[in-house]
Order: sequence, then structure tokens, then C-alpha cells
Amino acid sequence: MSLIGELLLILAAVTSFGAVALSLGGRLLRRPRWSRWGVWALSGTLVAATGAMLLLLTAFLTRDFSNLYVFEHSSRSLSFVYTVSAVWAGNAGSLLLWLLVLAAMAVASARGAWRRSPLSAPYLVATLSAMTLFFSLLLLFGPNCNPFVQHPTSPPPSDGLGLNPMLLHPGMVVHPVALYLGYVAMAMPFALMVAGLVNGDAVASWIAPLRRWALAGWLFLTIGNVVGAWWAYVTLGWGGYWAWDPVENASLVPWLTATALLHSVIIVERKDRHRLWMVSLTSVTFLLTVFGTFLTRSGVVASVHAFTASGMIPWFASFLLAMLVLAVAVVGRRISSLRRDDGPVPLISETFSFFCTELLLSVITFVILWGMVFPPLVHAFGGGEFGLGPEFFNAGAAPLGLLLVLLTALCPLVRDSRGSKGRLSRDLLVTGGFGLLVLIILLVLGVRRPYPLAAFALASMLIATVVLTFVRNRSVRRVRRRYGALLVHLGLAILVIGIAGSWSYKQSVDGDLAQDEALFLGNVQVTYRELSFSDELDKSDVRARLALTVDGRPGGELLPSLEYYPASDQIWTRVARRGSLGGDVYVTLLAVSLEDDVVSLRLELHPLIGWLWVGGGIMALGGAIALWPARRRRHGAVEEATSSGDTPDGRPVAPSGDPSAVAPGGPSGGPSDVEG
Amino acid sequence: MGADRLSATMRSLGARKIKVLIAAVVAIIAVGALIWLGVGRGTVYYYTVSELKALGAVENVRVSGRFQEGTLVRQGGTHFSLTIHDRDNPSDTMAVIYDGALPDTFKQTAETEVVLEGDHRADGTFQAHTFIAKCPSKYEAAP
Repeated sequence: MSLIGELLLILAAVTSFGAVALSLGGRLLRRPRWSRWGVWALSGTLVAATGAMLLLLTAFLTRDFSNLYVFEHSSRSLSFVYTVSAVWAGNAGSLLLWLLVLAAMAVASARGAWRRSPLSAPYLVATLSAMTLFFSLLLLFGPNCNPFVQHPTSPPPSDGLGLNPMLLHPGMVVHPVALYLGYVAMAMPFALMVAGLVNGDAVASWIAPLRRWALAGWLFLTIGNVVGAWWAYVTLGWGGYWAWDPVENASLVPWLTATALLHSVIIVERKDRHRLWMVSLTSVTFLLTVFGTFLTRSGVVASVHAFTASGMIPWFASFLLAMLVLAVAVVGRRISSLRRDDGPVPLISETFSFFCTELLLSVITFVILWGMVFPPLVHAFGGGEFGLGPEFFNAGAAPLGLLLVLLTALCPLVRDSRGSKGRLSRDLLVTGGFGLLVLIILLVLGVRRPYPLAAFALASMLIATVVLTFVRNRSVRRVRRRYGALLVHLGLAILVIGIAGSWSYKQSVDGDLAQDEALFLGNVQVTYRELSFSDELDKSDVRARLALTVDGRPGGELLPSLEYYPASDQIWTRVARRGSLGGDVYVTLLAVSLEDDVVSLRLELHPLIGWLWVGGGIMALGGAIALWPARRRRHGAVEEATSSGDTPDGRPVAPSGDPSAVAPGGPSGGPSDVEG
Repeated sequence: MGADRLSATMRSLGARKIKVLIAAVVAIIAVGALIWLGVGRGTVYYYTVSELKALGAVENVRVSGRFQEGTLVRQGGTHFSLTIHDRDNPSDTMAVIYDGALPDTFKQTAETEVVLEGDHRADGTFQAHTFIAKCPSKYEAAP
């Protein structure tokens, strides 16, 4: 079994290398047939990676503990779903998943590229195959990266160590996979860009698949981050839904640059400007995903996410460097044609407002990266060892984030005004007036803190903008892409309300309670009733029964518990929550004194936190709607500048489609120009 | 596009460039100020137990060391006292007072590495408000 696994990994490496060699060789020596074989070689990588993954999955499901990775990450008592998710619980398995997803997306992308442009497709195949080659080699030779290592003892142990109890959570099923998909999808726009620029293709010929892959990646990153935040929120000791942990930041920065990228794509399509922005953001987004992976796995930073796999630094550093050089080289080669923008841009114009958005998102990215990279850099150059805590990131993110909300509230109006200042002022009177009204109401209600006040007012203004744009433009409701974008903006507004409420007005109290004693916080009272105990096969737990009273009315029971997993000698604190749109009551059982029947509790109130999850969900929904393949119009044109080569469920299996679907991104706008 | 062109001709290129320059300078200053402000507020220095003992009383720092087995005492509720020692010089110890929940990753064994944030007081004790336990195995068993 380990032998077959290793052979499959070797096959993946060999086919990847073959794909690079055949694609490039065929293109440079003008032998198209070789380049065709390159795609077949890449498909061979996909087959090998699929085989390896199936083999590993089989080992997990058949409880084959002779496989060291299976032994370390699962046990007989693990349920089916968590056994499957144990595949990506460690370094080696998640790298294999990475390779598989990369190979699958690469094949899909390559097929589309061949249909579109046989001359540039080999460059795309070579770029992506170089990446699959890197991951295949990493799996084979990287430290602690091979999922097919035999357990040293013979016969193998009868049971495994089990999955880390912290990972026994629905978040484990979604969060890592969504982020991997998002990270890997960002490699496709990069490869499309490299191929297009090397071959000298017009941007218009590869912008549609670029947008779709970037949007798919954005969607997965959104889902991954929101689910990750929710998972961290319900898990004690992970610092709440967002702790500015380096690894959290690492998944946030490519999301920010991808958001900027998607905005630059619109300007390239509609105005034929911002081409340099678009390729730069494509490169930066991809490099940030590599950087994020590197950060997560190298152990460079201390983090709740840290996988211990030392020795990864040279691998990822060289890969990152190689990709950086590639990006700089191809963009540099075409820089003069990318920079060509005709004429200055008026201040009140779609182009300028999008420019501000892209710039602001880049600035936020820069500030966050600074906070991540500056302390280790200072230390590396002989300075003292220090870190930048959440205060640093909050100081930057709060004002810049609010500015972003303001811009989001302004941009669609600027776009609709089409240069008419009168119309823009009338619109601003409506949306700004609504924001001001909310501000006054909040002031009257006694809200005094500046940041939440500003956040609530600006979010209200943004909601008004979305509603106004939606109601006024009948076309918006028909064009899925703009409809989706507006939903994303609406989700952002709701998300910001959730963040402002829960971040600024979180309350917490600790207390030791004997039976029938109560803990009070705000309008909430929690009374300790009794303890109950249970023993299961793999764990034993202590559960406190608490009676909840809200505003003097009974609000049901809360059952926080402490679980103990003997196999890994680990305690796991399960919090209890009662949520509504107003906020969550959140109770943690910190400790139990059995002798005197006293429990130590922490009672927390997280106002408006539910809005965060609702807002995040709406953002993901908006992204999915924008990604959904377009319907063909009756007169043969396509509704949106997009492709037709997708599966009905909207996932970009081959987001390239036929060339007729590609928007001619001239200044007059393509079929995507919906308001003309 | 017509409006674009119109205002383009209305504006002379030189004046525009100056405006862009001013805007860029303002933006850079604003971002620089944010970073400077944030660095001032958010910086937490990292020390080992030995370094911190040599330094004396200091507020808002992070100290890392190893848990001294058998020293954890619960002073009722979630008030704990414990002793940690330096990773390299085990004879250098420091008494720690901590109010709060012990992280699930914290195991009371000798090799457990702990990272604490808080204040080093003049009497030599460390008053911690944040307690991070580095489980030696983390998510991966040692290779």
C-alpha cells in the first residue's frame, strides 16, 4: 500500500515534469502535437493524484493503522464524516488534497485555454504543471510531507491516536477545504495571465476566465474565512472570531487583494483601463496564497494553526521566489502596453471611484502584511523579539475598514450618475440622509462611542445605496453579475454591523457558583442547577445545567461542558450559546470543584454577532450568484461577459468556454456593459 | 465617456499631476500615522524567563518558558498560581499568577511550553492576563 502510494506520487511528479517539458518544448519548437501531449501528461498527474487520494481515503476508512498518517490522525471510534476530514487534518494529507485540487483545476483550465487560444495554452499548462510538479516533489521528499509512510512497528497498532478533539467540529469539514479551494483557484488567474502576457494575447481574450476563476477563489475564501471565524468563535482559547492571528491574516490578505482584483477586472472590461492594476493584483493575490501556505506550514510564526513541519522553509521560499520572478518577468515584459491608459480620469467617474477602492484594499493589505512581517524582520536583523498584538491591527483596520464601507456606499452611485454631479448629489442626499438619520437615532438612544457610531451609520448608508441601486436599475435585477455584486455589498454592510456590535460592546463576567446561585450580566441571569456526568467510549464529560433568564423571563437551559479524551489526554471545553439577532449569550464552564459542588463559569454577551454570520452568508451567496453561468439571450449574445463551459451547479469546471463568449473589453464596453 | 472627455479637456495635465501628488502624500502620511500609532499601541516584547528576570519590573510583555511540573495550584475559581522556568536555564524560575481559563491545550507535564502575556511586577512575580500553552505535539505527532 505504501509502495503503491509512493509510486503514484512519483507518477504525478513524472507526468507533471513531462507536461512542463512537452508544453514548452512543443510551443517553442513549433510542434503543436507535443503541446497537446502536454495536456495529456497533466491529465496523468490528475489521475495519479486522484489514485493517491483514493488510496489514502481507503486506508482511513478501512482503519489501516499500518499507515503512519492514518495512525496519527484517526481512530476506530471516529465517525465517517470526521474520518474523511481527518485526511486533511495533518500536513501530508492536506498537501495531497492540495495537489489533487490543483491538478483538477489545472486540467479544467487547460482544456478551456486550448479551445480559446492554442498558441498561449502551452504556457498556461507549463505554469500550472510546474506547480503540480512542486507539490508532487514536496509530497515525496519534503519533511513530514509523505502520507504513505509505514508505521514503524510490525504488526501495526490495533487503534490509532485519533483526531485531535479540537478538530472534531463541523468547521473542520468546511473551513480547511474551502480555503484550499480558494487558494488553489487563485493559481488559475495567475497562469492565465502568464500565458496571455507571454504570448502577447489581447487582455480581452483571457479576462473572462480570469474573472471567473478569481471570483470562484474569492467565493471559497469568503466561505473559508467566515466558517473559520465562526469555528474560532465557538472554540475556547482561539481568541474569538478574529484574533489577528498571523494565519488568519494570511487568509484575509489574498481575499482583500482578490476583491480589489475583481473590481479592476470590471474597469478593464468596461473602460479598458487598470490593466496594470489587474495583472499586479492577480500576481499579488497568487503570491499571497503561496505566502499564506508557507506561513501556515513553516512554523515561522506562532499560531493556533501551526502545523509543526520544520524544514519546509527552503521549499516554500524557493517556490515563492520562483513565482515572484516569473510574475515580475512577464509583467515587466509587457509593461508598456499594460500601462497605456488614454487620457486623465475625472474625479467623479466610475474609473476613479474603482481606483480608490483598489487602492484602499491594497493599503489595508499592506498594513496587515506590515504587522505580520515587520516583527520577524526586525528580529532577523538583530533587533529584539516582539510581536504586534491585536491593538496594532485594530488601529489600522478600524478606520481603513470604515473608509472602505464609505467607498462601497459611494461607488455604485458614482457609476449610476455617469458623470452627472446633480444626479450624484441627489442620490447622496438620500443615502447619506438615511445614514445621518440612523446616526441621530443612535445618539438619541445613548450610543456615544465613535467607532460603532460611524460603523452603524456608514453601514446604513451602504444598505440605502444597495436598495436605491437595486430599485432604480431594472437591469440590475436581470444581470446576475451585478445583482450578485450588490448582494455582496449588502452582506458587507450587515457584516460590519455585526463586527461593530460584537467587538465594541462585548461584555464578560467570571464567577464561582454553588448550586442555585446566579451570575448576572446586563439583562441576563444564569443560575447554576446541577452537574451531570457521562462516559462514552472515547471521552467522558461533565456537564453543567444552567437556567437562563433574559429580562426576567425564563430563556431555557444552557449546557456547557468539559470533555476529557483519554486517548490524547486532552480536555475540550464545549461552550453553550443562546443566540438571537440581538446577540449571543455565551457560557463557558471553566472549572468544576466536585468536593463542594461549585462551578466556575464565564458569562459573555456578544451583541449583534449573529449579523456577522448572516452578512458573511449573504456575501457568499452574492458571490455564488455572480459566478453562476449566464443565460444566453434570445438574440444569441451572452448576458454577461462570461463563459459557457461550466457545470450547471455553477462551479467553474472549464471557465473558459467558446471564444464568442469573451467580452471585447474596449472602451465602449462589451456585452457586460449593462446600463448602456 | 463623453463626460470623461469633456472634463479631461477642462483639466490641464500639470494641475492634475500636482493634485494626484498631494493626494498620494496625504494618503502615505495617513497610513504611516496609522502604522506608527498601531506599532506604539500594539507592540508586545517577547522575553525568556532569564531575560525578564534580568530586566526587572516591566509592563505588558510576553514571557515564554516551561511549566514546572506539580506547581499549578487553583486558588479557587479561575485564579491560578504556577511556576515556570527558563527553557535553557531550568534553575531560573518565575512565580506566575493567572486569572482566567486554562487553555485546553495546556497539559500539566514538565515539557509543556507556556507563553504568558502580562506584567512583570517588582516583587518578581508575573501577573498574566493571557495564557497560551504550546502543546509539544501540536497538530502533528513528532516525525
